[in-house]
Amino acid sequence: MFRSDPGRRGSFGAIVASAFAACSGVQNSPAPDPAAALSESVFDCSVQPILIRQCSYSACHGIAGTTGTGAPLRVYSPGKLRATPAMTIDDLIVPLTMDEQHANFESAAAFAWDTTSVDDNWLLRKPLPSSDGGYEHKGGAIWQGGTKDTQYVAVRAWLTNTGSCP
Amino acid sequence: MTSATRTLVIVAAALAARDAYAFPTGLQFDLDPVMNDGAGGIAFNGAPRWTNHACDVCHTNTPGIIGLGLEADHPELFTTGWQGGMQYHLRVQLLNEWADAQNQKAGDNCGEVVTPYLPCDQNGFSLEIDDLTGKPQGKFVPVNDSACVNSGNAPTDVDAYVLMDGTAVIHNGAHFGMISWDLCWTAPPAGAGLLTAYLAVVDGNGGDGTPNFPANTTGDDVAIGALPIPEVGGAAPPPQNGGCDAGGRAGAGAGVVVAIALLVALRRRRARLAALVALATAAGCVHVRPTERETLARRNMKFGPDPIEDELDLHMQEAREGSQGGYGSSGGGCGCN
Repeated sequence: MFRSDPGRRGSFGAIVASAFAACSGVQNSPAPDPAAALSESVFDCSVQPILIRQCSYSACHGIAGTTGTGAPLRVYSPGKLRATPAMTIDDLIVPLTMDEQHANFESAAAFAWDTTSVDDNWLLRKPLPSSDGGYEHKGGAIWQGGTKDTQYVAVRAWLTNTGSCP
Repeated sequence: MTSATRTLVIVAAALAARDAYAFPTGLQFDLDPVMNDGAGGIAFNGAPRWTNHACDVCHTNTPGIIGLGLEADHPELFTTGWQGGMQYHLRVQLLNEWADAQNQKAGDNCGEVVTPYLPCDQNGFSLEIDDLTGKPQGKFVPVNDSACVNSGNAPTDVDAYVLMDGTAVIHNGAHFGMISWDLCWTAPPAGAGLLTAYLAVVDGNGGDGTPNFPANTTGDDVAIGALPIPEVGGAAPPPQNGGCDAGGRAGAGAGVVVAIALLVALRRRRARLAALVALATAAGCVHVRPTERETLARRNMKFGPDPIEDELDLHMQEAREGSQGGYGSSGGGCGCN
């Protein structure tokens, strides 16, 4: 058919060329890594101690997995959840490894992904009393002093890059 | 390694990863949680200042068979109330022990001091007494040879360990096979009003039965209770919803608190009957574990999760059925839906 009509043949070629041209520019832009914008050293000194003291228990966030009894926030801590299963008590209670500390940082930092307002970050919002806008936290209101709670303030400072280590 | 062996190793690793050490000594409740496997001062007895968290944040999947009790040398503490400044000798009791109960009689003759190895019966408790604002009240001291240690240093092998800030008292962990712990509590000055004793006990199962894990958080049992203690001459405890203020992890545990407190105190027949009625109502109470609160925390568990949507629904229902009232106002409008 095209052989008999050079004009049509040229139109078909133009359509194919434009279709390819339309497709070739499409790319998935990589999601920004929230951890890249947050300080791991401030996390280690001021946030991780709060998460371990308040959140790391076996029925809460000291459990592996994100389904069933697991939770998106995973906190490794001495005596409870360890990255490498302990064979003895002595193995269980040794201080956190660098890898475990980094995993705690990555787990907490992930909550900053796609959060338009820092105050809506679930690390801050969910454990607030309901009177301060908290909701749907199984463990109830951990930041009992509301947005003035020293623990809330420390976590918020880390998330806004205004925190510092002593 | 064969695939079957590999699977077994993975399963074993997964199980081990869920294990935790527990806090077999009271001192651990004061230690730093990052460096020393401590609780950082959290007493885990269900008090409001701990967001009602108790031992069951770690000791999971417990059957709720055990009960708990709180006795006083002056049993009127639980009926007529506490006297300002008065010191009471209290006894915390673990009732219906079953986990590792076969080794309870062995006491301290357990662990690696005997051959073959015998798991130690490690049990524990945590108690604090708070006012209506949730602030701890009174002063705790341990007991030595039946006497309150009001001055000087207590021997290291006493039953009870008082938190460094003095706000709660925990098992000391110096001995094994313990199912009751003695301590003294001095009431605050008069005027503090109604107080509540928040109490939790753990029935340990001796860890995994080997020296590798002499204590852990699996296979144990937990009971949690809260007992209102009125002030002498003060207002009576507020009405309770079916006795649920004394609610434990299981109804039976809560009932035991009420039963011991009241039956010890009340000797007259009618008073005992009233105590039994209180026990029967308390038996219907259930302490909701942290792992069970997800559904309760959902927005749709509220009576009015979305008031605006309720208004619209009622408005449409009234227009559709030609009825009005019964659920409050549905607002104005012309009835056109």
